[in-house]
Formats: sequence, C-alpha cells, structure tokens
Amino acid sequence: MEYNCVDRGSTKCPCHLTEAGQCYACGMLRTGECGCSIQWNGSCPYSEFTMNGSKPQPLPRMTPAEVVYHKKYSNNLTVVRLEVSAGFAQQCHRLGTYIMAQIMGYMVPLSVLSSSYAVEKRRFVIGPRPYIEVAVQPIGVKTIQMMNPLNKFWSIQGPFYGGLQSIGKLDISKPLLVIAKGTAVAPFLNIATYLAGDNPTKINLFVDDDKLTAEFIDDYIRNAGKAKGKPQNTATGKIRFNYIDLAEDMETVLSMANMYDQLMFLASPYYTNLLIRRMRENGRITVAEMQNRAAAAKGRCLVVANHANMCCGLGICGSCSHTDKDGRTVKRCKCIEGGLFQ
Amino acid sequence: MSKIVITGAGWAGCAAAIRAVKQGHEVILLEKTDLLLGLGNVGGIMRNNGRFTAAEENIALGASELFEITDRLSTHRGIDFPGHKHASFYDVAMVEPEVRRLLSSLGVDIRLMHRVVDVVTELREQSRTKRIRSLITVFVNRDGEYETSEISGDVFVETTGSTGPMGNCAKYGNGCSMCVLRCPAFGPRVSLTERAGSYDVHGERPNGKPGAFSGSCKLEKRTLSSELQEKLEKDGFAVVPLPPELVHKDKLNQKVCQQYALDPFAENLILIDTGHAKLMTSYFKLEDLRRVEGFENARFVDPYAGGKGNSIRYMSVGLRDEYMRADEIENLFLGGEKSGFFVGHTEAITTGSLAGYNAARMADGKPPLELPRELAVGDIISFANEMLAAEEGYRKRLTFAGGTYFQRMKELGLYSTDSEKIRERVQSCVMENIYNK
Repeated sequence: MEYNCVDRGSTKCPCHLTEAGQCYACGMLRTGECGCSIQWNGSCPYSEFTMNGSKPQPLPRMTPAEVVYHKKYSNNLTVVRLEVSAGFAQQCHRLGTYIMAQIMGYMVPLSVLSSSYAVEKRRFVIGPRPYIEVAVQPIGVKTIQMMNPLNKFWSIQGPFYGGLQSIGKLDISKPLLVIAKGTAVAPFLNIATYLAGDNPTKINLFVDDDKLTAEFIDDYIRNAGKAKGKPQNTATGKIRFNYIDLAEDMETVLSMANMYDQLMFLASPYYTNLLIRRMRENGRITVAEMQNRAAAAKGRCLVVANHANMCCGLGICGSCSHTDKDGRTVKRCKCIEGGLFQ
Repeated sequence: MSKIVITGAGWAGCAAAIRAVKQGHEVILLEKTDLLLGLGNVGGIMRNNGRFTAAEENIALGASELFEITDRLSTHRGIDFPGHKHASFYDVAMVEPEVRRLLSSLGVDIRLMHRVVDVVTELREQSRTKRIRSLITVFVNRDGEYETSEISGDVFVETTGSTGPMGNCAKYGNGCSMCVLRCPAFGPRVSLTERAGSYDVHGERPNGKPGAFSGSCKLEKRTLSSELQEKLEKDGFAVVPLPPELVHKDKLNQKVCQQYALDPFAENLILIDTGHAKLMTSYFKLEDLRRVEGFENARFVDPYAGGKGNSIRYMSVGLRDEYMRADEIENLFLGGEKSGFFVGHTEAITTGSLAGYNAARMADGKPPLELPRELAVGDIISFANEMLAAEEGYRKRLTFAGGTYFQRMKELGLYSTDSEKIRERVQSCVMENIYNK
C-alpha cells in the first residue's frame, strides 16, 4: 500500500522521518530505490533532503498567543480566541488544520474552529487583529486547565494539516454531504466559506447538536459558508443545515452517504468506525479494495476526522502508529489520501 | 563600513544592492541560481501604463541605474497593445549580463549559486506575546557541496521572492513547469522571515486557493511563422484571434498579472517581442497551440513545460512596515514580491531600492526613509499594507500597469506621462536624488 504524506513538498519537508529512513513519500530515502515511477506527485523529498545538507527541517517552534477571550457556551463547550500573527492565522485556513497547545507541559491537539487574517498595518489606526478560535470540550486535566480564565497566554505550535483523513480528492465545485457531531464540526466550519464558494447550497450539513448549544449554532453554524464582509446570504444562498441524532439515525446517515459522491463525516471514532465498517460491508471489503473502488469511481471522496490519533503531530511520538496488513508501520498524523486506517 | 547581506538577486535584490553599495557599505548579494534578475530573465515589459510614472519617479529619486539599462536595451519603445499604452520591451537575453557588469563595477560582492538555508537570530526584546529578534548570520549552501557556511552581517535584506519551490507548484499549480528559477537544480527557495520565527502570508485567487500562476510564457521566436516573426520585429507585438473552442476565460482568474487579466488576453494569443516571443497567458496546451495558424511549429522556451503549467507565486510574503522593515525582526528589510503582492519589475525595483537604502541608513544609525504618498511609488507601498485590513485584500495584486492600483493612480491623479511634471512632483516632496544622499 502506498502512502502520501500531508507535509510533502511543504516547508516542513524533509522532516525527521527522512533522516530516520522512514519517509512515507520517498522510496529513495526509505529503501534506496526511487519509487517515483509510479507515485510521482510533483516534488522530490530526496532532492529536498540532499539540498538541505542531508538534514531535516527544524521542528516547529512554540509561538506565544494571547487569549483574547473565553466564551463559555456550556459546561461542555468553551470557545477560546487566540491572537496570532496574520501569517499563522492564514496558514490555519486550510482543510484539516489543527494546532498543538502546550498545557501543563503536555501538548494538546486542537482543531481550528475559525481563523481571521485581516490585519491593520497602519500606524495609529485601530483595526482588525488576526486570530484563531478553538473549541474546547473539558474531558481531562489538560482541557479543564485550558478553560481556566486566568490562563491568559498560551504557547502554541503549528499549524499542522493531518486533522482529517480522506480517500479521493475533494472537489469543491461538486455537492458535498457533511455530517458532524458536537465539536468535531470545527474543521468543516474553519473552511466552510472556501468549500461553499459561490454556491453554498451544494453543501448539505447535518449536525448532531450533542454538547453544542443553540447559541453556538447561531454563532457558528447557521451562517457557515457566508463570505466575510459580504451581505447576508439569502435563504436560498445558504448551506443547507439540518439536525440529526447519530445515536438514533445512523441508518439514515448510511443511506444518505450512498446518495452523495462526496461525504465529510466528522464524529468520534466510535461513529467513524461504525460508518467505515458498514461501508466495508462489515469487513468483507478490505481497506485496499475500498481505496481501489474509490480510485475507480472518479470524483468520489470520503473525509473523516483523524483526531483520535493525534498526539505530537510530527510522526515522532508513535501514538498514532498504524501497522498495515503488510507489516508496514506508518504514522497516521502524517498520512493523507490512501491513509484511511479503519 | 557595515556589512549588508542581501538574499535573492532578482530585480529587487539588485536594486537594493545598488542603493546599499552607493551609501558606502560592503554589500554581499547571495543568489541561489547562476543568473541575476530571477524572473526578470523572462520578463521584458517596462513603462506600460502607470509604470512610466513610477519609472520616472524612481529616476528622479535617484534610482536610475537599472532603468537606464532597460531603456537602453529596449528593442521596442512607445508600444500600445490591448489595455496598455507606451510600453517598452527589453531584450531579456541582454539585460542580465549588463546588470551583472554594473553591480561588479560598483563593488557588489555577487555570490551566485549560494542558497541561504537557515538563519541565526538573537532575541532583543520579549513580552509574552511578542518577540523582537535581530538577524546575526545566514547559513549558505553552496551548490554541489551540500555543506553550509556562515555569512554574518549587520543589516540584512530579503528579496527571495514568493515563487516556488516545487512543492507549492505541485500543490497549487500543475507541477514544476521548469521555469527559470530551476528549483530542481539549484534547490528550493527558503524564506528568511519564516526561518527567523515569523509566519509569512500568501496571496489568494478569487476562490480562496493559495498563490497564482505566473502570467506569461515564452515561445522560441524562430518556431513561429515568418509572418508572425516579421510582425513581432516590426511592431513589437502581435494579436492572433483564437478559435472559440480554444478560448478559456477561467484561466484569467488564475494568473498573477491583473493588468493582463482582460478578455482580449483570453480571446486572442497576444505575443510580445522580448527576444523570445512572450505569450501573454500562463500556459497553453501545445497541441492546441499548434492548431492555430502561424504556431504550427511552436515550442516553449520558458517555462519548458509551458504547455502544462507555470510557476506558482505569492506563496511567501512577509509583513513589513512602510520602511520595508520586516515585522518583529529589527534589522531585516524586505523588497520585491517578498514585501507584498506586487507584480512586475518596476514594482520590484521600487520596493528593492527603498529596502536597500533603508538598510544602509540603519547601518549608518540614521532613521529610515518613508516615501511620501504624493508619489505613486510611496503610495503603492503604503496601500499594499492597507489592503491587508480585509481578507479580500489578499486576493488583489498591485501593479502600476493595471488592475486595482492603476485605477487608483488615475483617481488620485498620480498617473502622468510628463517626465518634467513627475520630476517637479518629486522636487516638491523634497525628495529629488534622495537615494544618493
């Protein structure tokens, strides 16, 4: 099975995996044999590695970020707005973006809920400041500590782009079904405007409002996809939004999934596994075969959340390791397309 | 005498080097390829529309050296072509050696095939949200050795541009098209600002996708029909209507050059004589191109894969103030595309000259210069920063030659083709020959 790396060709490439001979994208670095005859995709990690003096790129730095505000929607949901540089905020405006926040010495992965990179550069003029927002759901000690209002400054790292896994390539000009539960909707909301483009109605959004409040839905979901600075979309020009209860309506989800070529399913691993198991006909279809089918059915795409596997985001700590049927171990935080590991 | 290290020897880097060396400093100009001028080697269009005003303003300010070369080596002058007036076209093959001779004669230490791969910074000031750093040293990778050496300096200028490397052209374009930057051979562009701890911004297309395609490609002139060659030699440009099935207006939204994102540039093949036949479209499928009369033998010389794609630009723009000083790095100045969403050589010379001049002033312990907004060259630098106050601003490109900014020049009365009037305007700002003072 071939794997692609989310950071291939980016400023993070070559990463530390190249030095260790574990680059997923480059056969030359892994085995000494160039495999690009079959998987060339426009940039050469081996070339980047040798050009960089056979050294990996440095690890991402920690960046200070001021907490602009905490908005507590419920005991289960707080949105934190962090002031960052315009470049950081703009680089967060991509599919599957997450950051790492350092709390109590530990790193916590958080999907970016929204970002704004407008910045006032004129002297003596007060204008927009760039920011990102993250939704925090208190589960353990780290996330509880994050919501401490006395915690005015965060130390963050990123952005990273492996927050979603996908099979197939998302085509933003085509209809898209989005099904999301709770705060897992964040990666969609972050780039909803980009996905909506000129035709928001092509997106059909179903949200399980478990742990979300009516106020959060008003603030973030009802107007998702509306271009900033433009007049309110008309009723017909909005993303189509409905509620769903995944615990009750999983069958509905599965039948809807068959009606769309492109599905973004953002929920806990429990539901994601359920969906993929059903799509694999309870194990009768292998992941490899599923990928082959997806490749054959051009235009089909499945995107799911990858958050359960996140830890260091760099492919180093190993908490996201996955060994496939051929015995090859890869790091899920680095793999994209072709890396659906259920 | 202080040491000023300039990284990237495109038009902006060369302009910065001239200004800094003329202030009496030791100037090291680092360039990753074996040619100066970067994308200027495949450019060639000067003085069209508002660029005439900007060129004359620069000359009056004292930055005349590079314009003297492009004017002298222009093969066509005062040309009007669709959407553009009084353009001159320089011969792209002849300008680079001339610029190299000029810089050498001024005493600039040109180091070709020296690619900066990393920097060392020193923390000057730190609060919980802000860190002001100072650049100390750049690490340079000399071609072929795969080893790095250190070059220290007092003040630094970054004019590395915003194009490439291959990963960006693959992700946001149609793959490496083998443009004149030749990343596979000379290595990827490295952003000094990012290495120093900042985060660069990038330009966006109307649909929000990052970057934009370079706006033109070049055909080998002798592969065109003799009629087209004659017309190019005689008039400087040629307009060849396309059959309707080959008109793709959506390509206009992908390109960098808003001044050429006009319908006639999609409905026709527009050629300009810059030594090569410059085809004013980002890329054109060779098989389709050869179906057009006069193009039966056509062949691309830049980028080599011009039938498929072109380089992706505006991927790495640093934030800076009106003095061209990078945000949060006290002794780094930015010029060219690195300093904003600017398009073109005149714009690069404008920003590069100010960056180099202010680098020299900082080295001398003098306050930096801000160009007044009464001049187009000052206004565009400030306006580029103002645009960032809205996310829409990231989707605009600025050029004196067209689009949003040329319109603004006309509205503000900044556009003029009267050289005397322009000089008087510079004099009234008490800025005449300021760059040489």
